[in-house]
Amino acid sequence: MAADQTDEQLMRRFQRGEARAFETLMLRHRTPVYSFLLRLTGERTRAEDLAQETFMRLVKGAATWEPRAAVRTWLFTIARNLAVDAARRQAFRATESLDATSIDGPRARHAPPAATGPGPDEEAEAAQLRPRLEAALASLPAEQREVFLLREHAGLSFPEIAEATGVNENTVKSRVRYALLALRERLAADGVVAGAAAAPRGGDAP
Amino acid sequence: MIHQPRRDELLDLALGLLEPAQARALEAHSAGCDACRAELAALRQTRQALGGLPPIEAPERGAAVVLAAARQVAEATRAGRRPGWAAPRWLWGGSIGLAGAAALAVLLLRLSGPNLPGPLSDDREALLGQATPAATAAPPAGDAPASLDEVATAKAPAPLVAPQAESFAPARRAKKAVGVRGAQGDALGFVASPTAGGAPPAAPAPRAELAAEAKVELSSKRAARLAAPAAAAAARSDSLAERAPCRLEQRRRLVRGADGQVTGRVREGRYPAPGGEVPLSVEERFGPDGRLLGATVRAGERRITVSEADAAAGRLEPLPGVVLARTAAEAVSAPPRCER
Repeated sequence: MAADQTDEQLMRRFQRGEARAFETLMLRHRTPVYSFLLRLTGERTRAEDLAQETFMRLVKGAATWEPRAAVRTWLFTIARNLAVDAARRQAFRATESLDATSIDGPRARHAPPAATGPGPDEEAEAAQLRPRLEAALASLPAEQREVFLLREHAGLSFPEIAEATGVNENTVKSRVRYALLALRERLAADGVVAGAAAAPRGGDAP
Repeated sequence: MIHQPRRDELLDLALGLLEPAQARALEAHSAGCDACRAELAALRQTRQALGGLPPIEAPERGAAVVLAAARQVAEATRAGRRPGWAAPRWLWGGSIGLAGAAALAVLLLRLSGPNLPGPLSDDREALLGQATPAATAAPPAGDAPASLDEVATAKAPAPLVAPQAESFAPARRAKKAVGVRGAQGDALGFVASPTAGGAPPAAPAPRAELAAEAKVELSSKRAARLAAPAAAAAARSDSLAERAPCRLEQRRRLVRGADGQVTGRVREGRYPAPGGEVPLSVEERFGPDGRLLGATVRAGERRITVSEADAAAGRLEPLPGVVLARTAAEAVSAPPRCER
């Protein structure tokens, strides 16, 4: 019934006082939001807390929400900002700033989030590969990682990511390029993808 | 060798950032250039592998708390927007009786009215959707004023509705009308959560309903005004670790089937009654798919059976403050109450 409604329809219903609409909304997004936060922070407990807080903010802010804003964008913006706030406030990684503007900034040293365990139907090969992929993701500088996650996992558009992260669209695109390049090189070093055949290293991305 | 000027273009192509014409041109070039083709393949493979990482399942923990908050806000919102929201069934059913219900309505009104918004610490109780025993006591009509003042304690609320006694007879006449709306309200799947002690309950509407039907002077606008701060108060809370009062649920255990699946939950505690407290037991039964199949609630002599139809219709609060889990998962992930 509610499952085939858009986020925006559900939010409207919640604004009118239907708590169930919110429940549907939350069921739909809590795993993506949690995954995003876990991969962003690398800490399970922190990600859980932040995810809960993200949805609390949604509850609190629902009254002021206007249909022109995509709920999904809003949700990930909240999640992202909470993660940044938490990182700043507690300086849980002294060497890292999520808002660092230089891509040459200190690299994230997060342990990759442990996989939740491969599903029974997952092939052994995929199960072996996954930790390496997670590790590659975790090795990205935070500002590249967040942009890559927002783009590739959350499915936000570049203008939406620009809004969520507070940088301009060109910077977002540039970060995604750097992220992909870094990931590609890391996976090549890991033997997951073909090695870069004498590929010149960086220097020409805007 | 990758042509230097193409580096960004290949990245953009792999990322889907190029204009269609540009993309076609570069694809065409790559088809005839080994280095570009290999690099493009590797980039696409990388993007696919990382973009395709499965999501990591969110833990159940914490969800119930957020949903409780959402219910509070939703109820307050509805109360504000639609003052005609109905009284839940328990208000006129069973042993509480209509007089008691009316007194309860007045009690809640008095408690919530002047105190809004409540202090933060009390909001947490509202968030957890648990009523304090005092608020649910539903004193008999005759005792109402004294009990009210007792319960209201330090809050010293100014009476909003003076002539309580007058409300009973008209309210009785209004019973049927209220009942119809009650059914509608229930069908939406909400439970009223009368909560006292300064935490504004998110159900001023049923009170307004009864009072208005009873021709007591309480305008819809006023009910709406009462509701708005309730929403704000419920929304203000953000620390969720606080425990709700434990009287209603002093013991809790899950019942599991042979395969370990949760098939039920039993909670025991004390329930407020006019003459003091009575033993309370709440037994929920869940089906193989985890849905609530039914429940039996015993409060002293009183026994309430919640059917599968009730559960499906979202009638999940057989007694004020006694809220049933809709699913086994909800029961499992219920916020900690009195276990620790």
